[in-house]
Amino acid sequence: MTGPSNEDPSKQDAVETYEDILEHKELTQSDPPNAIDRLIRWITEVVCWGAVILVAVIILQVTLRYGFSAGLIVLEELQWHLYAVGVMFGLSYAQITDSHIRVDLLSMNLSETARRWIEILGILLLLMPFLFIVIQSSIDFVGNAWRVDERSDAPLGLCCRWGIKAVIPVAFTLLALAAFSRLIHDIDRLAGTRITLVAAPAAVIATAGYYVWLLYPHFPEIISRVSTQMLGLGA
Amino acid sequence: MEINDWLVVAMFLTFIGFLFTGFPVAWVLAGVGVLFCYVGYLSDIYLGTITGLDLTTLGLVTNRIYKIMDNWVLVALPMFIFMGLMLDESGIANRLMHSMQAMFGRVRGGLAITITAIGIILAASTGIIGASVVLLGLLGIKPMLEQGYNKQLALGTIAGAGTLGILIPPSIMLVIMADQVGISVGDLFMGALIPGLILGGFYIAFWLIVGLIRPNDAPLPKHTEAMSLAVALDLLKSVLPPVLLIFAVLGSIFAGITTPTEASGVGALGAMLLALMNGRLNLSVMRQVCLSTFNTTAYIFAIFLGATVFSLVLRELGGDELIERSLLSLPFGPLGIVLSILFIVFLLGFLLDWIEITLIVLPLMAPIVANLGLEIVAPGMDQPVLIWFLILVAVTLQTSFLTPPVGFALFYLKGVCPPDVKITDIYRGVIPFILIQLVALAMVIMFPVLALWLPSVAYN
Repeated sequence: MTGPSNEDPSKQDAVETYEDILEHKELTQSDPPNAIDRLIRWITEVVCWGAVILVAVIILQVTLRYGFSAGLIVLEELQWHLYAVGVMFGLSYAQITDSHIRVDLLSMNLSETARRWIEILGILLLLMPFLFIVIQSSIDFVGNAWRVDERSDAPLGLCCRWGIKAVIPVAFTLLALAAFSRLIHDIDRLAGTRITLVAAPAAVIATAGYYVWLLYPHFPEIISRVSTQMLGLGA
Repeated sequence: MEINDWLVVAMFLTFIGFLFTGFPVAWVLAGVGVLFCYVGYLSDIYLGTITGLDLTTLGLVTNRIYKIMDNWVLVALPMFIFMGLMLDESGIANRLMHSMQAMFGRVRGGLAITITAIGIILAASTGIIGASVVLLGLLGIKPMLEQGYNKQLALGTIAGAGTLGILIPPSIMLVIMADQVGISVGDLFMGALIPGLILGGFYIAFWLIVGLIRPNDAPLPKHTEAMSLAVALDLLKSVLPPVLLIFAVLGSIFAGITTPTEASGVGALGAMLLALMNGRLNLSVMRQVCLSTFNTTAYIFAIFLGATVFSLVLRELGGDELIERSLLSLPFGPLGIVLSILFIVFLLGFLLDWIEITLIVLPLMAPIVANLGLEIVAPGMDQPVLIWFLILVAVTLQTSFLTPPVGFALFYLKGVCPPDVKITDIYRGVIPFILIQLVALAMVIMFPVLALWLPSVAYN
């Protein structure tokens, strides 16, 4: 919670103030941003404009439908694609800005050390298992769609259903990175930078290993499909 | 109770316990879901239960997530959020404040009434409690305190008026409720309009009464402009654009011309145009609103994800049946069961907020209520009982924002208050408004026609 500023309140920007209160800054703002935070912020700066594109697509659809009585299935599908990309990528941004809703009634009175411990244990025991399960099952989910070249059920709909389905593992990987970044902040504060210097690369290697282990059975197929279909090499 | 039932109870208690650690609610839901999937798996092996839970069951979560993404109704969510935040930025609230103050300046309680009216007109189009309360707080706290208003009541007014946004359509909560229970968003919007306006009307009436019986709590300003035609015209000029926008959005949904999703996009465009008219639209405002929309949609969506895992595991453990059995075994008639559910929602509102209640509790309760055989007559309507029930829940949830310890309106209000305002001031100030909300709730319970009249007119 930010302290009230001394400025004239009517001059303060309402949406900015809302954001300030939404983001629980006391534990994160003091920490220097790392490469992960910067990456996610950079992605957000691009993806968030999807809201404006979504407005434009809806307006175009409405105009076509009521002005020329000719709605386009493609526009309709584009709408939920834009919405889905926006919300899924938003998860990691909300994580690094610490905007997810908390019930911090009791924890507000705890020491900073205790709160950082809660955060570390919560990420490791509650959030990470969930992320791993979704990432693991979503890779098969995308793979199945890719194998059959799934497209929209509507004849005039969008192709490449696997593309929008792939948003799930990609967005969840970003979310895992964001959680990992928070973990680094907390460990860094509790145990000192030297531990982080060991822990961070170890975790990166472990995560990379995990993905290789997940994807390993699919390697031959991925390679053959990429080489035949995407690069057009021998059929 | 069987072992299954104990597991369900344990799951709820674990959730509540972890909630108080202050870890994000969404991830607590998801994590407890995963944890109890494992517990169910172990109990199948060692305790002889038949939950059938294992990793494969949890894998279904991915399909469920995709179902939330592939959902045309929910596209309205970011659009209504965008519209609301853009209206907040459009400078309309300041204009309304200025012209209404001139109009109501010489009525006792006029300033508080102005804030409430802005809450109804403007914040009501957003449904993002945090943003509404912040906007009204920035606008109203300082003038009200300077004019010598009763501090606690002034704070309560802002929390109450800011909360109206979630009830008065278009509201994101109603969109999500309709999606969860599988009824039309338009019907629910229509059902909520009259109860929402009644509640807003009560807040205004409250201040008129305070002005009469405790004039010291609602003093008049020192300088007032004389009422004149110019003042009235100015008010009209500032009220008309936002009201027209809201009428266009709601009207086109009610008349069945557009879908709520289309109307939300048009509303977002309209809000941008209003900001443009007031000279507030520029690239940095657009970026701010886009980022904020992104963030707000994301924290709501995160709870969707968490609730998906939680509900999936809860259902496999037999939680649905347990809750249905316990509710139906209550020694009350159908109406008594509805009242018990509302009481549960009211109690849960102290701990949780609307998102979790709408996503977890509502899907459990709605089918039970639909099959109670309540006799509610509304000619031509599809599911009058469900609509009436959802409106009751929506009005009850109004209290969840104002009830400490976990009241989100209070949390945001504290964030914009001057430093000398104590949280206990806020707690005391909201009490009359919670009571008013309960009165409105009682009215809708006794007269279902308040919620059902408008949709049934639209049907015929």
